[in-house]
Amino acid sequence: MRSAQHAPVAGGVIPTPARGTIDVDAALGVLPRGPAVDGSVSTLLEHMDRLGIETAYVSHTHAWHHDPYQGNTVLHSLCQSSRFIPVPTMHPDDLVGRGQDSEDGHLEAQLFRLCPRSHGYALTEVRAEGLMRRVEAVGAAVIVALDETSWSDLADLSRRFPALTIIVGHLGYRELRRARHFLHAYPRGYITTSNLSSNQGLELMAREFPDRVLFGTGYPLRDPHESVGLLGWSSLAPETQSAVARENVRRILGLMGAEDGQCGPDHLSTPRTQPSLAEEGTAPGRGWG
Amino acid sequence: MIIDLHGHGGPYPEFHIPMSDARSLTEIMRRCGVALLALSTHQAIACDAAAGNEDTAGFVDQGQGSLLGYCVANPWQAPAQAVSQRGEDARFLGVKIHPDLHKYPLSGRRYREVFMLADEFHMPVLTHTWFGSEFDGVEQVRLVAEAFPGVAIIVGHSGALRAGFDAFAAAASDHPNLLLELSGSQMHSTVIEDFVGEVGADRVVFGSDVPFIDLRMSLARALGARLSDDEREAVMCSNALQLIDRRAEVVDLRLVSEQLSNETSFMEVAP
Repeated sequence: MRSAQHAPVAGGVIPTPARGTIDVDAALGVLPRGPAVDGSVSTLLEHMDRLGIETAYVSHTHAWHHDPYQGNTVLHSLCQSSRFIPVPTMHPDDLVGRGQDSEDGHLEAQLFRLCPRSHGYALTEVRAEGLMRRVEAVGAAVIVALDETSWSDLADLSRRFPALTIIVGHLGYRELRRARHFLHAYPRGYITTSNLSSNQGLELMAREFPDRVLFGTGYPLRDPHESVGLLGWSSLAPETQSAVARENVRRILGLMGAEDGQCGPDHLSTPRTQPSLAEEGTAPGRGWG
Repeated sequence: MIIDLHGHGGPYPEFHIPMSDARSLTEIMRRCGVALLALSTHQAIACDAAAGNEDTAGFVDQGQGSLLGYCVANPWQAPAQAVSQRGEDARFLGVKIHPDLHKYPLSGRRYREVFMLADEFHMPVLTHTWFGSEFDGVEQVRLVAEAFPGVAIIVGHSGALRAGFDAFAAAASDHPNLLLELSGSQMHSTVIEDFVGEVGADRVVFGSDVPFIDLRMSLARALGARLSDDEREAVMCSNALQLIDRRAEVVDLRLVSEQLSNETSFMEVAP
């Protein structure tokens, strides 16, 4: 680390989001192929403090790159701060007694991470059905990076488990039209801002689906400044920014403290049948070409 | 004041790029405090360089001092002519080449005259780079840096891949005419800190690759890097100004100068 004095980000360079921002897509732990981050609790908290993020849903990279059970155990031991909400990583072959169930057999979390490609399975495999059925049954949600699966598998999963909430992150810059189709077709599909790097993709998606875009940094794989800058410099109306920054995730995952009193998983979310790009000063059709 | 040395415009064949017109680009620049963007159109790099360079000129005209162009030299489409045609055109800051896309090595014969003309017209050359590429990997960059020491070569994406950042920084250390540019999906604020530590802030320039990539992603990474105010000023602005000043020895960049003179210092303008 260089010794140069750090110009404080919150001091007027990157506009930080409003207070109470919730990061739905973060992790603790180091990465085997970079970036070179220490993955510690203190570093993540330091990022959150600087960037105005109040709460983070966190997984652990050990559960992604090593062993889900061991990683989930480490995760729970590290999530002592009330600012962290643990997101266990699930594996279809580890349904019982491997850190994902409590003793009475109920799933303990509201959000579970899936890493199908890294863990050698597909969301559409028969062996994943039991896992998905149980997550769906308890009204929990799953989060998956797009490069761990495919749109066709996500579509298949959505069709077979229509009550399952599926959050997709790390979209990259080539997927905007496919993401739009996914959100149109599947009312319980959501996307995060982590690596949502299509030009002004945030505005296009959040104007059309204001209740379906969630703030997520993708840390540590992604630089956490990215999503903060994306939202902070956005042209979205304040209420849409607020929805992306925190209200949507509170509603979906039932995080206590939702200002509108609508805590608890939202089973009423419905897709918009007509694009609404005319909102907030955007000309109809502009942007989709 | 922030100057972005790597941008594009117009549609791209492989995927949808929304809001890639001049008006949309200048709108997002204004929102983020970017005073000037140097760009080439996707038409110029992906298909027809001559037609695309004409499109680029149109973008610059619409930008009213906030956009400058790169003329694309495609090795298969009269590359020298593309540069000579734009050498005295004040709408063009430099030359853009994309060896990977055009499947031709950066050090190849067809680019030789391009570099010679860029030297003559004081045009920086922005080249796409990709670590491990036979066309624009680090060995190729070293060859042209050595062969054309008078040409400022902007190393687009600085190799793009995490595994290659060190190798490209080492090349920049060895060749004073190489400038490391900061766009790319694997770029990270910690890498930017490493670059500045390795080669010095005077050898690193900001580029976003907008609208291929959302400007804000690249900008936030760069502004989030732990740099001193002087280092940040160099990376985000003053190094680019030196390239513009040198180009202004050949062409009249009054419109751009007026635009930039309306901007105040980097820290004041940053949102």
